[in-house]
Amino acid sequence: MRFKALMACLGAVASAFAAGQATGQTLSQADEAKLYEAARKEGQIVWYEAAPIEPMQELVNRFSKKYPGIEVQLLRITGPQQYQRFMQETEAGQHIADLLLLSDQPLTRDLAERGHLAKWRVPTHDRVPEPFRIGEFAYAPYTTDIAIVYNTNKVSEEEAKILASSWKGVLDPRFKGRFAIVKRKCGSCYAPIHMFLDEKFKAEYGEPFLRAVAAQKPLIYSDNPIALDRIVAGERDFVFWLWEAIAVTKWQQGAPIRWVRPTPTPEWGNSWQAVSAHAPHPNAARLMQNWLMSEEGAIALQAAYGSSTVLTGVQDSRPVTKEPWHKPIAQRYDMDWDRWEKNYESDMTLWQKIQDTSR
Amino acid sequence: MSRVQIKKLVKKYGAVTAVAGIDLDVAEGEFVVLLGPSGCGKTTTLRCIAGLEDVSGGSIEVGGHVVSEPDRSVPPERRQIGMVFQSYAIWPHMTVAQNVTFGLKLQKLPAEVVSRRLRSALELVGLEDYAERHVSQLSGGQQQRVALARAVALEPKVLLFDEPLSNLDAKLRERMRFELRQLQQRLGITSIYVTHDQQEAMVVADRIVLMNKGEVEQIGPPVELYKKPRSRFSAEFVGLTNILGGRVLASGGRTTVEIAPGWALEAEAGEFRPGDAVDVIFRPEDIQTSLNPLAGPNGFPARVKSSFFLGNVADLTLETHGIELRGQLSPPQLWESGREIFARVDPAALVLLRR
Amino acid sequence: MMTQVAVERRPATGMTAPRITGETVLWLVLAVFITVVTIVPLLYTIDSAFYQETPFGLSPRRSLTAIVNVYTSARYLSYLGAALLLAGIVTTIALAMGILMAFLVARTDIRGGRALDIVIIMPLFLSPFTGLIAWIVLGSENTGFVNALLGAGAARLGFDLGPVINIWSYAGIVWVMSLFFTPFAYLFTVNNLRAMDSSLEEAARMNGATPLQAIMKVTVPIMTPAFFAAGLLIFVLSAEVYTIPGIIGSTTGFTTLPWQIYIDSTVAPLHRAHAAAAGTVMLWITVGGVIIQRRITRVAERFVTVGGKGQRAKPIALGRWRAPALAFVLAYGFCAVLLPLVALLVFSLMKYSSVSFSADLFTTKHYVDLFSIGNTRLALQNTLMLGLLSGAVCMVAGTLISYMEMRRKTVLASIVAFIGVLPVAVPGLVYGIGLLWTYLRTPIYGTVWILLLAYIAKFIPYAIVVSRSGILQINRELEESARMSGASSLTALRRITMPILKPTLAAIFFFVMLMSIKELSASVLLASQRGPVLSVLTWSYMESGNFQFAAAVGVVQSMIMVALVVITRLAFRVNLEKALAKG
Repeated sequence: MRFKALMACLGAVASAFAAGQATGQTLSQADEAKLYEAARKEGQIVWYEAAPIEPMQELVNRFSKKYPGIEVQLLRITGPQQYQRFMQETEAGQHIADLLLLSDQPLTRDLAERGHLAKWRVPTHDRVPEPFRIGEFAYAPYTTDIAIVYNTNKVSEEEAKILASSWKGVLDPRFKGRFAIVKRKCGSCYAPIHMFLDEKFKAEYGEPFLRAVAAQKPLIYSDNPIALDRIVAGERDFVFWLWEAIAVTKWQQGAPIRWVRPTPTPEWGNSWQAVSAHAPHPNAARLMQNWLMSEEGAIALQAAYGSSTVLTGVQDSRPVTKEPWHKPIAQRYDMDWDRWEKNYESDMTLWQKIQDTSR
Repeated sequence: MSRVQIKKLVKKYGAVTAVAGIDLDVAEGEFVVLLGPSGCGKTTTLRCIAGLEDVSGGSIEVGGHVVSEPDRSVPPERRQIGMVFQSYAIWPHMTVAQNVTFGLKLQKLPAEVVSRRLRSALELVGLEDYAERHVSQLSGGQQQRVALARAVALEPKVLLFDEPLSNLDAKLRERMRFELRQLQQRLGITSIYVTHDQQEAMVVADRIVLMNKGEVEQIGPPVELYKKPRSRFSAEFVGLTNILGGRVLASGGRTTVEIAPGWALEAEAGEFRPGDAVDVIFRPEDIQTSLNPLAGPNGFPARVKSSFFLGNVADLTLETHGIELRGQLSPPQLWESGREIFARVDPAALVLLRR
Repeated sequence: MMTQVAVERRPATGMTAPRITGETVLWLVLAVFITVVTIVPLLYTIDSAFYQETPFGLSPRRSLTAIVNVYTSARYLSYLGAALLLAGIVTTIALAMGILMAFLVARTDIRGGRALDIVIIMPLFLSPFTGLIAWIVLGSENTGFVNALLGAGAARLGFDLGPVINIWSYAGIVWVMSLFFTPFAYLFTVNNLRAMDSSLEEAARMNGATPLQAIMKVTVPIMTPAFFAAGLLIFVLSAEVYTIPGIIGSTTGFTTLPWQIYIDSTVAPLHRAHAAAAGTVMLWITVGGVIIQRRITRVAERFVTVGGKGQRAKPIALGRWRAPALAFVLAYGFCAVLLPLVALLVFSLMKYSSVSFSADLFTTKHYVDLFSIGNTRLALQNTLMLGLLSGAVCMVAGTLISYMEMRRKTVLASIVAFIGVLPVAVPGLVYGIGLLWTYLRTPIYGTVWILLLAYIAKFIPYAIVVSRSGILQINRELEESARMSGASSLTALRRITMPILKPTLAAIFFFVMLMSIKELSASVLLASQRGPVLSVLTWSYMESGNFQFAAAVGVVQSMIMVALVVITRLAFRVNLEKALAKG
């Protein structure tokens, strides 16, 4: 229901945009200078973000270097909690956050629909592919994609090839009891389930595949960072999916890990960057929103967080892509947001029930 | 020095009545002891006088001013009443001098007055060399004296004592009784003293208020309380006693009471009529014994059941007409158990109480 | 004499109608403050259990679904059962270890004597959460330091040892939790054991009992109420813990109610009404615990104060058990303090988690970051300030509330004291939501002060409970004699009661300060970008996958706590280990 209403609204936006290309916002050098000046008067940005704290701090540092005089305060709050908090604050008239980096597309969409997100068209709007934006309300600055992360001391190259060949590689008897999975509800936790339970793949994967994975007796961790840390340490040989960026961070620190991404690979916008409709520092917020979605921001992001930008025309500049073992995604699997919203909870409950049978 | 008047004092805790309407008038300089078993309301009465408890009914006046009425009360710190507590309540974090001068300093008295009073209070209790000691270094008796010095140093209108000697050992307790009495007489402070120890009460009191179940049982000088108990409770609580149930046979110049068939005792005249049921009461030391029949009324034969040497007296249990009697002989005289002897009680020693 | 005249000149007018004294006014102010600070969030919390849920939060429509689900569904009841069973096991073990050590220190001739106090209390300086990281590092099946070192040693001797311990198991959960709750058992019983009249035991000996029989037949029965009271507190506290059973529990396949509360209130789709409803279940456990505990404490006090005339019991000679007894206490200290701290320190110097200790694995980067990032410095300041302030406020307010409850004995004073104790086991996550709602529309929201109010609300129960037993030990005649000496009740409180209570006050201050510094679950919900604190920062870094940085923050946090102990000790000039044991 709500989604349809939103789509209608988005449709209207799109047609308006199509009708008046010339009137669309394009930021010239002069405009940017004006925005910066206004932003500097505000002097501050409060950014609620759900991504790991260090890379985001790194991004902030780069932004501050380019735009001195604006202090960016970071507060890491994970997706649903950030949504809750932002909603409560907004409804109570406590306008604190300027910028949001929120995980989960449906949550972001809901905020946009309630009018809590500012409509702000970034200059690079047209270079953001359609699945990675919600009207002009929110943009996914980077993609999230699923990978099987393994410890190179524990998994041989031959075994890595088996894992890379297909999602079903994990079912090879030699992997029994050697890997970990994560029992948690989150976007990245759900995306592959969303794919495996897709009508298209019902025959190939579906519920039987999930049961077969559980039958491999994996160790179950309560959260993704813990699973990654334990794989790095060598407690288990690999984790049956994380998202790539979190692994890149560890890899850059020198951890003995690599990863493979079987085909098709779920790749979607999991984190959504938006300006609050009630931002106390509206100009500064817009300035930073622009920068985050700019080419420069994209390169900074790829350097800091290790996830690839959605911006077309920007090269994947991450050092890891130079590695011979690192293969680009061959075929992307796109999310069906309607089905996501409808089935998220029941699918996750099913998967957790199946997980419980593995012990 | 002030008079203390207690009128119809009532104190209730919820449904429980601790003090049930007490009247007491303590004259200036008088030393009155509230005596009674635990739970009789004596300590509650004392705490009401101190102002540590609010009263539920009646009133308390000190020096002619009402200090306690239901719902209205002068707080304890403004009553100018000194108190010595059962636990001494010496403040452990202070020295002897700090304890004694605490109240004086609160009154903002000049330094020389404070030090003069400290000195005289400590001299009074014989602790003049202990001023700078920490109280934890003192013995129980010394702590007791500090408590006393602290109360006296304030030069209160009234001094209250709440079982002040009960935590001391027997010897010290006995000595302190006399000291307390002498001290009070020297200072002449109106004093009210609570104890459950009747001997202690006898020593210190001008008058004893015997209390039972929240009410006054008898008020009088120690001798009167002992010699003329006005109730069975008084007789039993103060000193050892023989209580024999009987029936008045004849009255007139003397009252004759039948105790058991074939055994009657004569007492001095009283307002009894033949047929009245009475208690005949006498003290163990009023029994005389002899191998031969004793001259005078109220002689009777008896058999010795037991006899013990207690030092100053000999304790004796006799049996006559199927009734056991307690006697105390002074100077001590020991009888062989089972011996048939003669005993006698003087009619003047008998107290008759209507049953 | 001057004053005497003054009073005499003022006849019946000197009477004050219903007594309004200085401390009553102060108490009233604090009572209103504490009641508002604790009960309003509590009511908000309970209220939020009665709403319908949407995938994004709560809908404005009322519903009993969550309550019915939590109270009747087999799923939630099994979570509750798991939490209670775990709390029961942990309580039993922690009590057994704590009491045994308390007995050894208080009543025997164990070498080291009171110096052992500090060894046993030390684990309090480690937050359980940091301790968990340490034990994951130490005790993982294949990569734990312990297994790695033992395995390497065995390999040198020529055999394959295999994993010796595995923290990722039910036993692992019990182990970590028991280690961290043992100091509580110790603290709450050691003083009772010290105060017990030794003549009771001696009488048993005179009747022909061996020392062991005397202990089992006399000491243990007499101390049972005190043991039970300590056990109840540990039970309530351990039933609330969610991090340890949650994070480790996933691998062994069990879920406790507090972990489910965490999941329901943080993970999409949110089930906030369920979380709040489950919070009310925890509340009942607390209420029951508090009621039983009060009754028992009363009994216990009666027992303990009977003797307690200060004559120290003659230490029991351990004989040939002297060395093993000391070894036992030191082994505890080794497992609960030394091992985790060393592990944390080593771990915090690594670039990433590993057991191959090569030189290029190590870095001081995390410590450099810790002190160079502005946010961390601010968090350090805030943590310190909040710890000191909440300690001070709880000390004053908690003591006064207990004092009024016990000395004035009015119904209102009892109610205030009861309300003050309620938040003790409402899970911080749920309580945090209530706190958030309470302050959302006030200017305090978004500042660091909201955390101060949260800590006061969360930790005032400790202050009330601890000060209560402290005041119980003060003969009220000490105050009354001050009144008779002319002191107003407030003066008596200030000049007599408070100074005598000093060790207890110091204990409360110190304890609340430690708890505030370690508090995580409510802080996570309430901390703002303007007021970061260390515990939340540790959590953020750990959730971001940087366990090494989290460990570095944990090490610094522990160092701060130790430093604070030293400072408070100097400031109050009391031996805190002893003071804590008195509380």
